[in-house]
Amino acid sequence: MRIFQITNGMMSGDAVSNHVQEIDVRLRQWGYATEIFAGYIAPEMEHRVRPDAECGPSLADPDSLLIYYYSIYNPNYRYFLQARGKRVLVYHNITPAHYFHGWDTRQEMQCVLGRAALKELVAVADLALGDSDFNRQELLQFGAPPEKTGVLPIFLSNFDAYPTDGGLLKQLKARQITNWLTVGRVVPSKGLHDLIRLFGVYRRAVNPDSRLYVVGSMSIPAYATALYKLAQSLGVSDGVIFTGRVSDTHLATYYQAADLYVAASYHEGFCVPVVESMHFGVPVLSRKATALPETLGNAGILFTHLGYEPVAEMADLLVTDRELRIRVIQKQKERLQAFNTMAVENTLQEVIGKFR
Amino acid sequence: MTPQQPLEIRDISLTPADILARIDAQISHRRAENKYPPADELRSAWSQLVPDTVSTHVDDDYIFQLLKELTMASYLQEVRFSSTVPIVGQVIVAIRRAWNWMSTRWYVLPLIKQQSRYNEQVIVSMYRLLQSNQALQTQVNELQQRLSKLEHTGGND
Repeated sequence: MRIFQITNGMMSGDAVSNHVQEIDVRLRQWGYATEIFAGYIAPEMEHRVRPDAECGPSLADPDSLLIYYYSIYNPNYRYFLQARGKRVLVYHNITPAHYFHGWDTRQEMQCVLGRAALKELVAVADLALGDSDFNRQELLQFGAPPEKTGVLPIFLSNFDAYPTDGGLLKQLKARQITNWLTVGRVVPSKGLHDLIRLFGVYRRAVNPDSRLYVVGSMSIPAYATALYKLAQSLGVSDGVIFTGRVSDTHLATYYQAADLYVAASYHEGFCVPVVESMHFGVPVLSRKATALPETLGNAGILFTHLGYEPVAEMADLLVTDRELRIRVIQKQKERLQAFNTMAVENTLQEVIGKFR
Repeated sequence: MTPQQPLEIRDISLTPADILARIDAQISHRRAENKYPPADELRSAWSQLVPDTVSTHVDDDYIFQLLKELTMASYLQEVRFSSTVPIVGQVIVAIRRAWNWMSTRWYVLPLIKQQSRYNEQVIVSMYRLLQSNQALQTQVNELQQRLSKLEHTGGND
């Protein structure tokens, strides 16, 4: 059986791209002929990935299995509708459009279209998988029959393979400064406007020697500008650092230098950075919203709303109370086992086994 | 702590009640020292930066379909040469690729990208106009209802 995967884009440092590559490696090891197609292909991926427009012969093969990754609206979803073989949809969630309203019409429209197209995808899928149960529940809401749904957790990047940037680490750890970290696209659904206000309370009332690093691409200039102004008006602009998109090596270094990871997102389908924080032994303080409590399990600390004063004080305890910190990190390490490579491989094998 | 307590500690081995009591004590202490910024400052700091928007959504199925089809057609892609002719086919492909690389790629590819960007902007503009149109339609409907009511009552409520 030929197995081919289609996705929106393939680039290094992207969680879904990494997941697709890891699956491709396993499938080849298990003896399948595989191919990867994508709408956007970064130069470093050109040797392994072909343009999605070239997937025609694979689509026409009735003995093939297509795995389609859906995390953003892309016209290449039509290939999923056209495929003659078996079809597996892997849903990584599409952010509800209203978060972009007033900030970015293009992304808002993509989200509207993306959620509308999801109904069509679910209707023809032989199996619809979410990378979390939260996402699986959404698939059910979009009409997927329960028996045709499941959860395939994401393969995580092997961060142990990345060297640390010693210079950057030294710079980040200078003067015993407390480093807060958050990772992800700088978009309104990530609740960064709340996070900056929370950090403002923490820095002004609790710990003036602190910084907030926001690591992620800044795709909405209007929102990014508003966040700068917000930090300025709260008098903490010198403590809020937007790094933009960084390399895997630099990302690993930011995790190593972090004293606390804060997830203020209103909407997450899974949230890979939370799992990465568990891997790097960084305590997580997270909003109790969408998939975040599921990803954390019983680990980390949740906040239901802000509540700036208690949440800022909780952040302080996680940084300064050594015993509490160690126990929280230990619990997170236990939770991490649910996402280990072996567990994901076993689930993948079960999924493929259904179509042999 | 008030009933509005926002923290949830699910690992009971951490003795959540003790942690929350410590946080309570710390908050009282810092409040007494007037350390926290006022809640109003935090609220207004962000509310004045949020863009003015009219709450709208485009919900017409036909419009959806049209936008989707337009979006699909909007992305132009570079042609990749292939051939089903045995043996010689690969030579033909190589020659075409080489010729394309030398003669047209540096000229045509930027045009493809420029056209794709333009197409996308057109579709986004259409979407924005649709939103605006729907917002206006909603306002017209409301005004019509108010007018009918006024006509019915003769302006005497």
